[in-house]
Amino acid sequence: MRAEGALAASLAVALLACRDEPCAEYAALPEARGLCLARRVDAAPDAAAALAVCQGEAREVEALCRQRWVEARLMDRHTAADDLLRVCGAHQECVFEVLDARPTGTVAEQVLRCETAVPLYARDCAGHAVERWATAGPPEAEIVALRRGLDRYPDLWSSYVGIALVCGGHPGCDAVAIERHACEQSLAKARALATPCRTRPSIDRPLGGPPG
Amino acid sequence: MPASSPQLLVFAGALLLGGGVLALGWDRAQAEAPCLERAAGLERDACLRDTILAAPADDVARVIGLASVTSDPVVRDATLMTWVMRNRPALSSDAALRVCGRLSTTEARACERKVLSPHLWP
Repeated sequence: MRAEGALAASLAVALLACRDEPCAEYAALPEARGLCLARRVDAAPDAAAALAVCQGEAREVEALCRQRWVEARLMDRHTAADDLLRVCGAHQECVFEVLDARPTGTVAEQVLRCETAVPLYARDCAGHAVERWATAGPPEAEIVALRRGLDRYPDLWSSYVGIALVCGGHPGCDAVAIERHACEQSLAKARALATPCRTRPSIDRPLGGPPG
Repeated sequence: MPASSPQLLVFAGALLLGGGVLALGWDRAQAEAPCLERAAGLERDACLRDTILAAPADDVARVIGLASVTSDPVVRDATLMTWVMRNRPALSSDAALRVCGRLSTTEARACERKVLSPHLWP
């Protein structure tokens, strides 16, 4: 009788071990269980599964949980940017990371996107977009046109116009009709840089430089 | 003859407990005795967690001392993060950052950002 009881107990323990329910040991400690699940959220196969964890038992650390899943998939081409943004929700820092790693459209469109999606980080986000554009070596016509698209950030244009000219292989500020003096200053600074055309990483340019 | 592994574990546990008592001070340690008298493990950590979460905002040193004798890192980090967020309005930034500094790297970064830039975190 006692031997049967011991056998049943052993079987129950073995069955529990086989179930391998994550974080089961913290069942009585809600914060610890939430953090434990948040630390494992990388394993969630899609956005819906990640949100179920982060908005469920990991609610105490929801922002950390959301950002963790998103950061794990930023450079994964199989995860759509929309899914990443859906998991970020209202978490501005997380959204900023997605916009930065998954830029789309022209630089002017990206700047507008920054202002709409991450108003608290709009300037930094726009700065990264302009830096990425400038270091990729844009055509001269784009450099001239962008000045109008950056009316709200004139300092960004004057900071990066020189880099855009150097990286685009353009000889000087001849085509730049407005703010000629600022352009000349920016160009001199860009020419003094050791690696002016090293770009910030994104899904298309993981380590800098144009794709391919 | 070299000490066996269980002997070493008992010795290490005694050292940890002794360190905890020293860190907390004798009076404090007596107050935490119900937790510290328990064998190391989740049950003791749960007791320490309850004691930490009941600690007021001006008891930062005690919270850090209790966290240092919490053996499970998940329980320790989760408890400290919860304590900081619950007491944040009454905690100075310096005190909150001291507690954040006891967390594992990723959680420490999140905790520090929440303390320094709460408007950026939902």
